[in-house]
Amino acid sequence: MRSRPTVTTKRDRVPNIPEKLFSQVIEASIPSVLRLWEEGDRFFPKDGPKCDDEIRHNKNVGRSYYQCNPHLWQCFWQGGIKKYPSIEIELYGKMYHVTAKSSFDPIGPYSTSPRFYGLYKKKNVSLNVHYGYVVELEVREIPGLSQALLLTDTCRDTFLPQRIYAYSKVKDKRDEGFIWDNFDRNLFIDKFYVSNRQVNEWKILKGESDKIENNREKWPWPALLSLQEQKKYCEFFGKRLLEAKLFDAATMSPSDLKETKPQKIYRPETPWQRDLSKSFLGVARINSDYQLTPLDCQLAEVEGCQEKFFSTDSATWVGIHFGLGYYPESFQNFIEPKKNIKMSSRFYHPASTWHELGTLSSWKGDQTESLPVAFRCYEEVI
Amino acid sequence: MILLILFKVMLSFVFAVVPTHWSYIDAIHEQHEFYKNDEVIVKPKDSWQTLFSLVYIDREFNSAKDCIFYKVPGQELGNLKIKTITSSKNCDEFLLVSGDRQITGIKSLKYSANEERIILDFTTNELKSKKWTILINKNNRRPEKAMGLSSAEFSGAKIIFLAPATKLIQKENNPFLKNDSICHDVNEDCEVLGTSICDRCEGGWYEIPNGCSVGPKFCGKLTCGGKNQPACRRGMTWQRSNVDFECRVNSSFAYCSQGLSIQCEGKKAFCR
Repeated sequence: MRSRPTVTTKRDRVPNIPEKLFSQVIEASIPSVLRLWEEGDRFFPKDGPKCDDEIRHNKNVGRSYYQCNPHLWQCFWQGGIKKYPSIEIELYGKMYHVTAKSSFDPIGPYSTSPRFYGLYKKKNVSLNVHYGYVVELEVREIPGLSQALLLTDTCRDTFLPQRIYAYSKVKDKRDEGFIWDNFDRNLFIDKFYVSNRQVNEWKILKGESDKIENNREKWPWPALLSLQEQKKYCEFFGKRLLEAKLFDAATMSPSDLKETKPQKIYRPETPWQRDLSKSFLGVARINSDYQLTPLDCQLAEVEGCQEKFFSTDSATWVGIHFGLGYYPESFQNFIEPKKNIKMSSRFYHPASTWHELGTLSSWKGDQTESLPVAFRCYEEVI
Repeated sequence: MILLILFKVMLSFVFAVVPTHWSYIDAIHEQHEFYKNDEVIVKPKDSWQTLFSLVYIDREFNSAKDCIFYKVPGQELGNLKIKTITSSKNCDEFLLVSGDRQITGIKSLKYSANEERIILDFTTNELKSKKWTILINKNNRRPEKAMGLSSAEFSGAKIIFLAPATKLIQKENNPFLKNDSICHDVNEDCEVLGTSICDRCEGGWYEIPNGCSVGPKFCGKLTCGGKNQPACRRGMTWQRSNVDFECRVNSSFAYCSQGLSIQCEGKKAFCR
């Protein structure tokens, strides 16, 4: 009788060099590591995390705040989300536990504990990435080895498709007004306003740790910097303060997404509806007793709406937020330099004429209590 | 004596293992001009040749490279030498310097390289055959431009593996370019002269539009459209006509702030 052929099981192919096995386990864990980093909100426990030095969660903070958020990464690995944190990977029939090492110096203003990440800012020309977070992973079952990785901020901005765009409004709808195009340009616009958390990192990186916002509840709030500081912040990270014409491009939905060179460029009056008169803002202009509904506040956070940070309700066609409402927002404007602020915000009644795309005002550049001004950056990549 | 032989065998075994940090290779540079993929290297005998170099980023964010040198067998057996240097230097400068790792007694060697992998195949005097497969990271292969794509992913990758720190290379001082120095040269005929080095500008870069789809770029802040400043780029497609954008004839590819007009310096547009 012929003998049975020997079956080579996966278990038999386990590399006998620890370094090789280690790199295979790390490689296999990358999708889960990325999920924890990019979709940190999914790991957020119902009763909130237990890491007061890193996160003080409020119900008015949207979960997208926790995406690509180093404080959630820190909280997870120091046991603030589950008691024994690890990423489990099954390989060759065996379970391996990938963990992060707390091998980075404490960041004084945050806490005295060693960090599970280090801030990276481009200091030389080796990488084409301006900033990121260095982490170090190890495998519990293969001691003595570790792997350093750089996590990049993939949650921050979004690509502006290459097409013809319009800037601002026109008095006569038959007038083409100022149109332009971004073919051969790779532009990426921040989805949200720059937050206090991000500005804190900027201050730490430039050696001004003593000037950070210490109130952890305010970390998700929009950072309120002077116009000069807003520009400096963006430049530090290889970006620029958003331009008014880019904001219009990202908020005025094209009538046909597939046609990138249309003969007629429309200028919608709101990010979600071409004609403002048919939206709740138009109705509010006619009816002074108009009662806001929760759906209205999802479209634009205007006066009378409950404040919500990092809300994903009001996404425009490219995926940026707060096309109308929420905070006044500052811009650079090389076409009409004095028109450098979007006034539409939660500080104006829904009937206000500021609530319309392409409607800008002038800002001298200093923050005041009556006019807090948020900002965002964009990046052009060659 | 037996112990010494045993030690030598062990040593050659250790050195014949593919270096672990070659799991982090970002690019292959300085490939030999004449050697073809999968052809055994036999000429010129008894001479040192640079086969290629492997570029990677280490834990301290130094850009390092391993130069792979080969002494072609002739009177003596072949010799494979690996030297780690800073990536801005040329391997040829180190051709005759002693290596950081060396494999001697090579009878024959061939290699093949493409965008994704390099295979180094060699046979030693003891008729042992080694095949090193080196994978190249996908970091520098750009994803397709699509809605939702982030700048981080477009410029680099979502996650970047870092090789262990290389103690062998010297850190470079102030490698950034000075403000207003050209970082992407495009001549008056729209010919792009070399690849962009604008990633070496510390505080960003700006373009002076010249009617070409890719305009010349300089290190510094983008301030355009104002008096005596470069004009701002408006694009060459919004006009919906294929015309020649010669600055003095048709400067619609650029714009100035309200009240200013375009003046051309050569093909470059400025605002006055």
